[in-house]
Amino acid sequence: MKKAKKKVVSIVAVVLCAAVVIGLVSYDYIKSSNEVNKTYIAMGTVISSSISGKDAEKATAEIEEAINGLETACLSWRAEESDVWRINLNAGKDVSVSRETAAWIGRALDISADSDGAFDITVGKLTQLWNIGSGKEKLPDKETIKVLLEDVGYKKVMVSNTSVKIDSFQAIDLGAIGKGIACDVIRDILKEYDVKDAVISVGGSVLIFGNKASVGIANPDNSSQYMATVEVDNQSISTSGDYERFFEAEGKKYHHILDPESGYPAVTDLRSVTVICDSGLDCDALSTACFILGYRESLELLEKYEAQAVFVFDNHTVSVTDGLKNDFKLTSNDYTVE
Amino acid sequence: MKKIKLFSRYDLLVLIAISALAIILLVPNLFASKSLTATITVDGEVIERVDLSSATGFREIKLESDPAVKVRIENGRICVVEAECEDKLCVNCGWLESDGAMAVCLPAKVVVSVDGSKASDEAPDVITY
Amino acid sequence: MKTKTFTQNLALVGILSAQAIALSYLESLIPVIPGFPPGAKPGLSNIVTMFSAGALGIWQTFYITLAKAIFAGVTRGLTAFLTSLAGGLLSTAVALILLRNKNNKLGYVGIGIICAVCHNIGQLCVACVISGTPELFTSYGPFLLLAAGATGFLTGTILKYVMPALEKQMKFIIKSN
Repeated sequence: MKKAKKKVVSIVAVVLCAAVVIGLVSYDYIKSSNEVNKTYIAMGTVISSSISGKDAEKATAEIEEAINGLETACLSWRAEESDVWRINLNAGKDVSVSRETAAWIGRALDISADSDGAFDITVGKLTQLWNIGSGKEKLPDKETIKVLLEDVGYKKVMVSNTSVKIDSFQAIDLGAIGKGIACDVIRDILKEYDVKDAVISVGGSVLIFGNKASVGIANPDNSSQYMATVEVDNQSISTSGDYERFFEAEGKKYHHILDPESGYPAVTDLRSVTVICDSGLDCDALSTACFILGYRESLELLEKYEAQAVFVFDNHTVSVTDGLKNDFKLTSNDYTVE
Repeated sequence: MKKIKLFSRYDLLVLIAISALAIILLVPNLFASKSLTATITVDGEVIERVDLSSATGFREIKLESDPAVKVRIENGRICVVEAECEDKLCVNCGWLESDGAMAVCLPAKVVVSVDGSKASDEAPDVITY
Repeated sequence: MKTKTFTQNLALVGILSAQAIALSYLESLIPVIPGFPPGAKPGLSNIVTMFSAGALGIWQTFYITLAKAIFAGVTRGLTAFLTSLAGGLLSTAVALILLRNKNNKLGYVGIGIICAVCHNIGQLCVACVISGTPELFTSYGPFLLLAAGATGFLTGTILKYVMPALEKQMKFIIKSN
């Protein structure tokens, strides 16, 4: 009798052990599998972040703060006292800026040089002239464009470690790479925290941190839908397309990607270019450059930056760079892969 | 140690019980209705979460944003019906009724998004545009 | 037949742990069985723990389970350790209850199935928690249950037929110590 009782006690002990182990493990992993989703508006665009890991809350909060700071301290040409605002105000003079801003502008200039000026941050005044996406667009007159075009040229921008100087009549606009820069800043923040993985979209420029994720490429004919998916692993991905912001005048469509050579929206047979590489800034700049350069001329540039890309043409065909063939999947029947 | 048979008739009961349990667990899987939740945020603050799949009837929510935005929920879908902003982009988004759909009013900092069980395994996690 | 001395216990636990580990290692070489959900293994090492639960005692069986989990942890990481431990403890506890119950009416097959089911439930709990997707329970659970039915049938039957060999081994160790 006594022995039987002892046995029962022992069995109960083992079961309790199991329960405690499962409980402890559960607690630990519930914390680390903790996922925080947040959608908010910053930098004039929608930011949606989905972060999982122990520090998901803290990381989410710091990212929101950093993004708002990034806009007011560096990038915006509207925000007074931002680095870009001061560079434009003091055109022709050396302006001391943060190390980061100088590095970003330096990187942008590298890509300008490698794309023969297809991507150019000195189109600032033209961008302001066209003001596409504001809702108050007017077709600018030819002469004004011609005059402003004379001051466009990345070669006139001088960058050192902590200062930037532009030509007296120039203005820079980091709008084309701002979202990508934000992705890079976010990546650096995520690295500081105990975060397992994260999927973050800064107005369509996406950062995949940690685990592989599937990214849909917007359908240019209906941008709330996707026409293909790409598997992305710990990289950034972003798209430039003629459907994002545009206006119509005199029966013609004018999109927001300006060709620094003509001063007009780029004329191309492309609808959109999606670029995948390690840096968000590179993705943004390269997708813009490729959109302007066209398919053929883009390939060399992409190779140089070890980037992969998806080209969507206006005849509903799609081209994918070789490194992406296995990870790319067309999902819309309206398109064919070349 | 007591002699134990290879197979007793109670084993048959165990087998049946396990199979029955598996089938019972499978059934709701097959008929699982897709759940859809709409989240309304103003300036990053979640104002309301609405379970769209169970929402019946008609309801309007007036958001205290600047400019003001009015949202309507009706039979498992949601839309922005009125916005006192210039571009009316959010109103033009129309009805949101599937996972990932979103209407945004930038000036009012209002985001209405719909999340649900993925429509299929193929659906991407995020969209680049 | 019963173990009497510490040495006998030590030797038996050692050799049975080694056998359980060898079986789990063998199993890890088997690729995903077609038609079975990934992660569903035959659970051959359950044969050893079930034998131990019946022929040895509670703590001996517990040690074997622990050794198995540590082996999984060393070779495949923390997650494997936790899943192995959770599954192992649950199925061991149930095996102990069933095999040491005098009024047991179940056969080897029934016991094997129940142990396999418990093993899978334990593992699934941990997997759910680790991946943070409780939906796994309903989506993956039914398949794991069915798989456990099949693998339990297998391990129960094998146990019945290797019983004499295991008993002989036990006798040999007890005699020589």
